[in-house]
Amino acid sequence: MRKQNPMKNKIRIILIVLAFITLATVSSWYVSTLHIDILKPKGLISLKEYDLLVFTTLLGFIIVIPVFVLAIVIAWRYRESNTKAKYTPDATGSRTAEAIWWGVPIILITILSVVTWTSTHDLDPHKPLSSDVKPITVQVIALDWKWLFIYPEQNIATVNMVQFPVDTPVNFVITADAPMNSFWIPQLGGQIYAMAGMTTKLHLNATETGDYKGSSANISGEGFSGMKFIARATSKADYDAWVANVKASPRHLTTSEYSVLAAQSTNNPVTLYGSSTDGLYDTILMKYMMPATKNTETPAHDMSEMDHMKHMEMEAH
Amino acid sequence: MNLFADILGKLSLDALPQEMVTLGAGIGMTLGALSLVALVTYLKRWTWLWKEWITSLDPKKIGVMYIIVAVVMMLRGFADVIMMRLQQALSVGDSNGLFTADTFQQVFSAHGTIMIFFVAMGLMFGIINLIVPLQIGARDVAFPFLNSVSFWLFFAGMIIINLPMVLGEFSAAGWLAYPPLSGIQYSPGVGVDYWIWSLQLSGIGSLLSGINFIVTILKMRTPGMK
Repeated sequence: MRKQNPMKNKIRIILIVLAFITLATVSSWYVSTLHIDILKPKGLISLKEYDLLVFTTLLGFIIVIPVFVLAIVIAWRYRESNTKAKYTPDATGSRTAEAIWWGVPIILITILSVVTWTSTHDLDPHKPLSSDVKPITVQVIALDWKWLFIYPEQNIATVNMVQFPVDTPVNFVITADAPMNSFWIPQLGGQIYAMAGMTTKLHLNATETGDYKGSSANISGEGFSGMKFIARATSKADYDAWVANVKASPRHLTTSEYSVLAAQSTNNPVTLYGSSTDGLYDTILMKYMMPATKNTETPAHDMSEMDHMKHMEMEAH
Repeated sequence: MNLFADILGKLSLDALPQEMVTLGAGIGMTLGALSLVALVTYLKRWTWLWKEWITSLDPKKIGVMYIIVAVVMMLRGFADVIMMRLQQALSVGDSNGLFTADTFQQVFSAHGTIMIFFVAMGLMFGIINLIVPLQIGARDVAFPFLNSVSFWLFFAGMIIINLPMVLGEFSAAGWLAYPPLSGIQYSPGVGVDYWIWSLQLSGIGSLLSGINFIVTILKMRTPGMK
């Protein structure tokens, strides 16, 4: 065995530790300069989600940090050349060690389960937010490849842009007239799928004014990368002025205008519609609820399916 | 003529690579395969290759073959991820980068599919074949021939997933291939067909392998090993 200079060893350890600290500092500084949307929450829901993220990460550190530190320390301490470390080949187990490596994870998992249970119900995307302010409803339709927003109460519609007042609950009602997408405004809350023939709901509330990035979080085909939209939270006055402005738009979302819009197109600009056909959202939704007629071979099969559905309906009544 | 149509289906001459990048990759891969064939012929190793490796039922050799395939596929997976990052770095502002959106999504789908089903799974089965019989003191697995069948199904899946590089196109529906995007209406090309057949074949292989090793571990442990 080569004899090592203990002084040299110490310097080596110090250098390794210094390198670790430098790496950790530089990488955390780098991350802090990045604009990561979910780390800059601006909504009631996203603030709670952010707290959860931080809490669970810190809880995870309770295990992760000791495990990684011990992995290095144990390998180093019990190396062959270290004669000071106690060598116990006949060791059969340790109650204390067992208690620690079973006990601590059990406690952490228990805490995590409780937190998961309560937060899953608390942050249920389908649950309306309680507020003194009257919520506004926005119907969202994912198209190939753009987002259509319909404001049923204001009777206006927009493409790739959605505006709402700050500190007001916004009830998004979401579907698709295209392959599955996922509706996501990271600074306001988590994503939820937009699927043809069904409605999903998302309840958000912006706590600060500003423009937030919105996008699709599920690949949907060629124009997917252009499925971005602006979510703008403004004061109530600005919002009302904006609605009036949109109402004055010369474009109107008629049924024929909708079929032009619904055709595949990429990188669509923001478009404003002064009015929208009544019940357009429900029409789009119901389009996929009908028994399939396109791909069925025999009309007889089709009929029997319809009969079956009627039967089911009657049973339900 | 009808026979050709039946065999080739949707494939026509247009299926050959059109873009520079895929053309380069296709030519490179074909040349690589041809030079491998030439090398084996030159070294007069065909009999050896057939007897010692291709028809071998030895789990250690099958394990080595799994790992070789997985490592080669890892090179492809890495090439894909480099192309993806390059595209993202280059498509800033008005620039659209090197590829069209469709090609990018093919690369993206190929990367996910290959890294999971032909790298991660291949390495897993390779290591299991190498280590498990040794660990439990078994001379072979429970069904040695089935083990070889599993590997060659995996290999066939690997060939099919790489064919679109020279013939047709890869699926652009992401590696999870959710319908309706992966359905005939939104993915009318041959990409999803390749994807489905590749995954079904290699899937049968990994299913059989799984059964094989469960039986091996349950029934073939050395005496005294509880």
